[in-house]
Amino acid sequence: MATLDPASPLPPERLYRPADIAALSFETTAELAPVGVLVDQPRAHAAIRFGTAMGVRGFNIFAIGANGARIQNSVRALLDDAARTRPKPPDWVYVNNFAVPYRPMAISLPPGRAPALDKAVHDLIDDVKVALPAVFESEDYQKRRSAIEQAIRGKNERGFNALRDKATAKGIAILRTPAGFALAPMKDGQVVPPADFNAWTAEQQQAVQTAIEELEKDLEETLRALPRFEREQRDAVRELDRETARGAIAQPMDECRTQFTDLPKVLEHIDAIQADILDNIPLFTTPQPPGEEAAAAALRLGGLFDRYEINVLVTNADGEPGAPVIEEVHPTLSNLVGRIEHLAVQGALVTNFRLIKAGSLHRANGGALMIDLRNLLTEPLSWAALKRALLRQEVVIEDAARFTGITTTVTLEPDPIPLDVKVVLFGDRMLYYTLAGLDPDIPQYFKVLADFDDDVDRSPASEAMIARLIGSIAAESGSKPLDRGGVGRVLEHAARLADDASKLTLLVESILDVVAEASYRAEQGGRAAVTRADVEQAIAQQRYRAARVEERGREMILRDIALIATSGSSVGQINGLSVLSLAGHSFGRPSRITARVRPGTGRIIDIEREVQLGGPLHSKGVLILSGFLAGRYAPDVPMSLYASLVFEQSYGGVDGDSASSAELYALLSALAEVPLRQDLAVTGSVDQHGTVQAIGGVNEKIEGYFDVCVARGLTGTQGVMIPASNVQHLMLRADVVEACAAGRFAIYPIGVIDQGIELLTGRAAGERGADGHYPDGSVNRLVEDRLALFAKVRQAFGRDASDPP
Amino acid sequence: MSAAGDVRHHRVILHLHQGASEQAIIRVAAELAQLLGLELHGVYLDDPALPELAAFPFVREFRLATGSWHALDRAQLVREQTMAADEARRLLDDTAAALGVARLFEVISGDPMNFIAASSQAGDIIVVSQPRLPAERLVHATAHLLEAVHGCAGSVMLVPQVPTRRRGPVAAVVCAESDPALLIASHIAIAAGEDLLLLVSGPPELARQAKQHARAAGVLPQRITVRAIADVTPDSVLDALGAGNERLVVLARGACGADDAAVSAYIVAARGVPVLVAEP
Repeated sequence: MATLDPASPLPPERLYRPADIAALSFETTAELAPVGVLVDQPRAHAAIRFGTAMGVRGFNIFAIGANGARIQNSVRALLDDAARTRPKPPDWVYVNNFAVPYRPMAISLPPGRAPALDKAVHDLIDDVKVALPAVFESEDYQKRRSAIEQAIRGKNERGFNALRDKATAKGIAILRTPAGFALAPMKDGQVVPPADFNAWTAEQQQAVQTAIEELEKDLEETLRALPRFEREQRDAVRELDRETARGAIAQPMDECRTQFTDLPKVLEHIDAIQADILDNIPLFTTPQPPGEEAAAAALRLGGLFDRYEINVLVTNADGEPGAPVIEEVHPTLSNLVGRIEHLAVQGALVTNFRLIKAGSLHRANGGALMIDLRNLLTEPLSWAALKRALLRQEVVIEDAARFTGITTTVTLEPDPIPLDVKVVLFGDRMLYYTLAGLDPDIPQYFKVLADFDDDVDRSPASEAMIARLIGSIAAESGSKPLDRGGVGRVLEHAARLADDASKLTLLVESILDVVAEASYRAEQGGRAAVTRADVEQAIAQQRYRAARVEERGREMILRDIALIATSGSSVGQINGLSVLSLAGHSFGRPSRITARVRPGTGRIIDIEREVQLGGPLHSKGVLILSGFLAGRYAPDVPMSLYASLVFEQSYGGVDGDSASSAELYALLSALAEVPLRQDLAVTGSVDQHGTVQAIGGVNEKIEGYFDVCVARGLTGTQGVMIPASNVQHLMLRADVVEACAAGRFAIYPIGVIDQGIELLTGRAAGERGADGHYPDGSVNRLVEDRLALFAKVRQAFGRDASDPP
Repeated sequence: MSAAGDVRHHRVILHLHQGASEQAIIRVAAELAQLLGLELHGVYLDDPALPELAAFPFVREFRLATGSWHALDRAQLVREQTMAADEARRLLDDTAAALGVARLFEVISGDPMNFIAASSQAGDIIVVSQPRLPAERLVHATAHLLEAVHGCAGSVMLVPQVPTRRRGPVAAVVCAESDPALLIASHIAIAAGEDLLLLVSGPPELARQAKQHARAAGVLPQRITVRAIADVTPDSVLDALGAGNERLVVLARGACGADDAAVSAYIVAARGVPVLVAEP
């Protein structure tokens, strides 16, 4: 028969794994080369490189990772690398659409040339503003215009004079009435009064009437011809003006065109400008009231000549090579797709093409756009607008107020701008999985998933890499450099944050917190570099600031309000361990677990579940105990046990199965009526075969019980039983390690339940012999005998109950 | 009041009638009154014979708005005349008030020619405007109005319907040392803060004397420009003005020949600025 290895305390070196940076030669982190991206993320990095290289529609990137991992920095660095090799995207400008002013036109230019167009057109208009007034004030123009007007006026005058002379000859006066003209008899240059006229002979009167009838026709014809003459004169003058203006602006127009001969769209627009200038010559030749231009500019209303200006929406004129990488930190609809601004003028909202503002999609066009998923989803309309832009592959400026009917003011419909952008959304996993579950479009728009690990395997190489990361963080945050001791302690803290001695966390934000505070401590101490002690103090202070609830809980135990025994032994009672997490601060706390047994129907009652304080995982753990008991002690017969388990003085919820081994020990103790040591605390889940399984928060649980024992005074027998598979996770506090090294505290790795029960009871667990029975006096024998007794009692009870009274 | 040479100007008389009640004209007259510190006297010439025409059954009115003939309605004619006079009064009052000019407005019924001849006196500056509509040149009264006012004792200013400029030098045609145009132009230039452009016809000595007189009147030397003209004809005046940007042309009565009305109409049509024919 094989014997069970007794549980023995772990040696101190198994309780804490110090950092190994021997291979990295440096005095302080200031000497270390910085790292721009999160290290050891081959899967995520490959995904981003693939996503950025894929030009097919829909291969946008979803980068996910834990909160605080700062994956956007890593993503940004990778995108920057990729962008450097891509060509610069074109510039975009909006210009006035002279034919349809409410639909401004978008024109694309080679990168960096939009400002040149802006300046060229601005200079052109300045030149025209000087050239046109000068030429129209010139003597030559005045003479030509005067000649045209004189010629037409002369023609008019001759017509007027002829008619007037004819009327005079016939004794008829032409009179002006308030609303028109009239003809009346005249004598000696005076209108004949009706009384005098009546005294004339009938022949005279008839002659006058006949003359008036005849002249009425002439007058009407003359008057009707006037608009034609006026139009003739207007047309002739306009043609002269156009001809004069065309000649005057020819040179500046040509100079402007010369700069853009390779850009047909620009040339078309310059032609449109010329046509508009020729149609609006008075704009340049009529002096504006002084101050009007300045006042308009101050109000940004746009001056009279703004119609010709260029609205440079996006330019890549800077010296940076490659495509842009833009991060939109506030992805409102207007920040994303651009906006059309309005100005309130005398109670009305007005706008023009110069008030079109670019959004981040415009600025990132041709490159990459990074957006925090949470920020995007919390902005109304933005998510849908982004998807629309990606689907249509063009940016349409959408007005949220108009969508929602808040305003119905006059606005613009600018040309959409073709979109070729790689959108990278980043956020935490839960949000991504939730969104992916709710929005079936995700696979259509974001085909590449870049899943960042939360931690990295611990090795000298990865520690060296994280050391460089720590140096980068210190430099970027303005913290002091860390010396070797400081770096080592931060690395060890990174392992503790990973909850695993063989891993290092990649939660940069948490590392930054410690580095920054340690730097502060060093500053207070007047040290040039951050030492191990500074880091230690920073970690301790972080814990202290958050430890009020933890300390109040411990105080309750020490004052015997919350009953936790740390010495002696009791039947059916054990110290379990749990972890509480409050706003990022986790701490362990011992809880008393008790078990009571009596004959019954084979049911184990989880009191926590009965009162709805237990979660499903806890209930699962308790049900596993039934499987263990039945399988080990009553494989062939019904189990006649009624047992109850409870977390004493637990008034909140309990979940997780990490106490199931402790519950099993308490149950076995109650059945065997063998007391359990109270100086030990237990954590670990158990399966139906009695194997103790790993749990989370092992470090916090050990330290929580240790602190209680220290407060009461370490006896040398106290300790914690943990699953053997959790040993690899141990990164315990220095004081715990020291106490264990001194033999004043112990950590016991437990592989199976029998190992644990022996340690807790001081009795052999016992193995079933060839006779099918456990050895006498062993815990298992005592349990089995008790269960057999319960079966008999139940049988007897059943018979008695069925007998007639 | 201010003096201009030997003539003391008393008032600016603005002749208003149907079709002449344009704000631009009223403003030019009001600004002249303001510059010279004179009272603006608006006279609306109401033709009482007009409503009587309704008694002629064969006399009809060609209405410009509808482009058709209509029988005359006496009551309507009276009403429309009254409305036109009221509108003229309102425009004059508003403009004069805005410029701080003392004004008087009266409606005169009767023959305009008789009134002009009877009411005008030396020291008046009579302001008349070009016809608003080209067709008004057909009207017998209009055709004779310019001739009538130029036959009056006072000075006459003819204003285009739409003045091309409201700022710029004051140009004066000078034919003699004591040319009245020189002094009144000097006073207007000083009051308006404008340069003085002297178009001098005569020996070089006259140019020097004209400049001296202008300086004596208070015009700064640097603000005086002198141009010689060979002879005093409307065309030579226009040639001398060239591409200038004058706001007003002043010449003495008879300076360009006997027909001052035709001369001023010619210059007004060519330059688009008012022409003031100064009384001797």
